[in-house]
Amino acid sequence: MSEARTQNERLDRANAILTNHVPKPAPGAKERVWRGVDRHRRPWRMRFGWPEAVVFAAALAVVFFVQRTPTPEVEWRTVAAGEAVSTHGATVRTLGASTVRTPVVKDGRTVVQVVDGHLDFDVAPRAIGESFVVQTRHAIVTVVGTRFAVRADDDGTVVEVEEGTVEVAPRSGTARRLLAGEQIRIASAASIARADERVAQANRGEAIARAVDAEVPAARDTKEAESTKAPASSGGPAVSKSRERRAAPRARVVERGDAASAAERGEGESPGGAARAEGSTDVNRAAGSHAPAALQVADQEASAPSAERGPGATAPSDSALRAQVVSPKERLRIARKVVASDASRAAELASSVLDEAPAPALEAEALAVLADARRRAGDDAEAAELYRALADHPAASAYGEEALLQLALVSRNVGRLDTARAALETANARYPHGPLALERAALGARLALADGAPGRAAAILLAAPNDGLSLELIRTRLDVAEVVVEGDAELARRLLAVDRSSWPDGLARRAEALQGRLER
Amino acid sequence: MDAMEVGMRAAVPPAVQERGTTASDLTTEVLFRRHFDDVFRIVARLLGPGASDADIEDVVQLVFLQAHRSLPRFRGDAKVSTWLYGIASRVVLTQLRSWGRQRRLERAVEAELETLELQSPEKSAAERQALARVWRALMKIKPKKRVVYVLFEVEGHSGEAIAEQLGIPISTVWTRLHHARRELNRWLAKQEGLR
Repeated sequence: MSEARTQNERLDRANAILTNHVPKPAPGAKERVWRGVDRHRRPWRMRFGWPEAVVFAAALAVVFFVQRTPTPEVEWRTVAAGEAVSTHGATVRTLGASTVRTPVVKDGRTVVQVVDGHLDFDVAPRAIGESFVVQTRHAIVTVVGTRFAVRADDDGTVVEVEEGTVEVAPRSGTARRLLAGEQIRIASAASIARADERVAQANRGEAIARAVDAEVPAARDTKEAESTKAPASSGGPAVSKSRERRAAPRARVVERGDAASAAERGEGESPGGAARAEGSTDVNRAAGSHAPAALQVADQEASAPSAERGPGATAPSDSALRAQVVSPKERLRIARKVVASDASRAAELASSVLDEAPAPALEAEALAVLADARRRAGDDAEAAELYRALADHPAASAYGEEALLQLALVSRNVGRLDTARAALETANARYPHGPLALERAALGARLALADGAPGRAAAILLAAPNDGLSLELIRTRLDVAEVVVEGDAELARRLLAVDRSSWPDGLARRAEALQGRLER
Repeated sequence: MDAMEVGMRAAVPPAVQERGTTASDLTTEVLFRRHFDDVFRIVARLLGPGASDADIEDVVQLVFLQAHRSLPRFRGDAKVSTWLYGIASRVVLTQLRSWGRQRRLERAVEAELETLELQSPEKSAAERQALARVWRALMKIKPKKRVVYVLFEVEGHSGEAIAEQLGIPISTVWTRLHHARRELNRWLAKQEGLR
């Protein structure tokens, strides 16, 4: 009871503090904001001049010219289910209503484009230098001579090989060779976005972690399928580049034997077999959807709590397995998301990326996340080491300046003032006009003040760039001026001789009080 | 200052009917003139003391530009203030989702606290310190919950108004508020324990 009262009192105090603070616009803010609103709300013709008009006219001319250029005769066709067509040395049978484009032959490549549908291809062997290509919105399937099925819809594309070999590449990503009996699914951006949305809706770090862990059993299936089949080319297909930043690779290869046995066990709903179920491509849907059997089993297992998994199941925290399914970029994205609420989780994810010796840019990003996580966890000493490593990293261009500033801050927190000074000096040398120059100057001046050298502090402040507003810098300037006002009035005057029109009221009043003391 | 005021008078057209204006009479100028101070205050409170004046002005400008674009679709079903504050809340939420901006705001609050701890314990410094401490805890809460908390507890908006402003169900408002209170309490308690 008393605990509840304490909590209420604590919140009441916090609310009173928040309510008493009434932010006021700075002088001239209303005019500045109105000018900005007024400038941007005007119609385009009032904002663009002759140069833009000339560029626009040139662009129009190019578009006009391109449109007049003759294009090959192609047409879209909607084909009813069950229809079989022989064309360009291939027999195409539609297993569901499909929208396809008339094949085009160019440079020995016969290209069939599929928008939607489920088609079975039986392709005669090609001569050397020739190939048969099936394009969907998500993947490009290159055939050497084989029999295979392609199913494409809004959720993605599923390719299943019955005989021979095909090469499948996401629209943007690494190609993968599929052997007979293998199946691959390439998710569309929309289905990845849905998966992303689920992750975004997860409120806490644990929930996000579950979303990551849910991928792991699928990785196990993939691994088993690959280990029992002839060797496939290394590296899983990636999703399109624009989505790669935000989503893990979703392509999975499943052995047909596994699918059949899974269906026999009754663990998945599989009308007509794993690869034949119409409209059953969304492997990311909750269990109970019409997903192919093997894929659906994977999803069911993923959504089950770990305690309910079979004895042979691999622990979801196994970073080696996770690494196969959740890309390093995705792990870093999640780590950044949870670093404020769950620093240890973020550190674990960032460490798993570092363990894999990633590309330099990714390594720098992982170092940045790990350092932040350590700092938030209160481990300033290790954070300092990580920031130092990040600052010296060859690919740290985007993080270098901040890393050095953070190194200086955490070093000061643990009492290593020399290290803090050295970090600031390095940053000043490397990034003399960087966006954090003002914060650096403020910290440098504070360190000098702590050393009992107000003259040096004043010199740092007077040398600081004059092109921005930093409250920290203003406060430091006032603190230093207060220290030197008695001993060196001229120096105090120089510190106060700045444009104070945009200073907050409280700081401006402090400056005026100091000015008054100087005049007296 | 005189010149600036004259400039302002020239830049902002004279207000039309301030009271009793119908939805069709609303113009961006009227909205701006009537609601600038309130929008500024809400944006500043939602962003927290870590936001610089320039940050707040940028966001306020975005709010009025968004309002300008949405004005033709505003039919007066809701109160103008509810509609406009809803735009403000959503624009701030979008801004807070930016990782870099969130980091910068957090850093500014921390820097403020560090600086204030070095200053003499005068009244204004103590108040700012208390504010920064509360905000240090608030910044640990996810923006979507923080926004609901500030609108309800600080701005005094009703749950229904917040639901309408953010376009979320009323039950979601209460859930977010509950979580925000619990988390804020936890962080404040942790801070008190550290001090």
